[in-house]
Amino acid sequence: MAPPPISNTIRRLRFDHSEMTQQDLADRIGMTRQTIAAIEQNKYSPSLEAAFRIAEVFGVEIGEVFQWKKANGEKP
Amino acid sequence: MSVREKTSWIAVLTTLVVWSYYFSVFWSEALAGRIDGEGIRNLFIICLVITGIVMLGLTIAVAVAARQSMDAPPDELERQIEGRADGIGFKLLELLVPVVLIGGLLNLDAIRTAFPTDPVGSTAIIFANGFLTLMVVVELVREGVKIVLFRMTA
Repeated sequence: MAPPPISNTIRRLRFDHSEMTQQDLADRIGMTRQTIAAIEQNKYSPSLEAAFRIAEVFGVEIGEVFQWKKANGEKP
Repeated sequence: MSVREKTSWIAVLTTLVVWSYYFSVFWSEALAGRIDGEGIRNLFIICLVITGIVMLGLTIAVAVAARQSMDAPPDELERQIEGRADGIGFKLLELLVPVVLIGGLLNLDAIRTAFPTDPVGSTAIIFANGFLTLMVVVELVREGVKIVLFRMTA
């Protein structure tokens, strides 16, 4: 299964927020630590609601957390 | 490993050990042409109780060790995985029910001939165990699919 064409900065954002653990983030948005790890490693694309919740925890826009990776030749 | 994945492992291993024994006893007896209805019923009840106790006990132990509530709702990834596993399990059930039914009906005469002392009772017991085998296989596949999907996201 190909990974979704989305990258994220959750790991860096966690580090910037007092080295927040995956478990802390999971607890704050009602997910398991394993799901946070899967999102962080780009093995699972979260729902829009979960994406907004993650961005809300870090106090940033959703675009700062998740970025769409354009395929070669794809128009902007 | 999440609590739900551990629960799936517990279900698969318990089912494999307990029900493999039950079905090996039942089908070897049935193929040898001797079905002891009472003995099979007792063995079935014992296997059911053992399965319940082992699965419940281990699941509680896993939840306590992880400091999680046993009835904690699944998150979206877990719901997605359970949905896919349920879908595959249901399709397999849809496929195998007619196979077991038709296979049983086609072999009715052979079953009656093999058990001349109680053809009706033996036929009923074989059909019931055929469907029980089917349900256990589907459950194993469903839990197996969950484990594979959990591993793919780990």
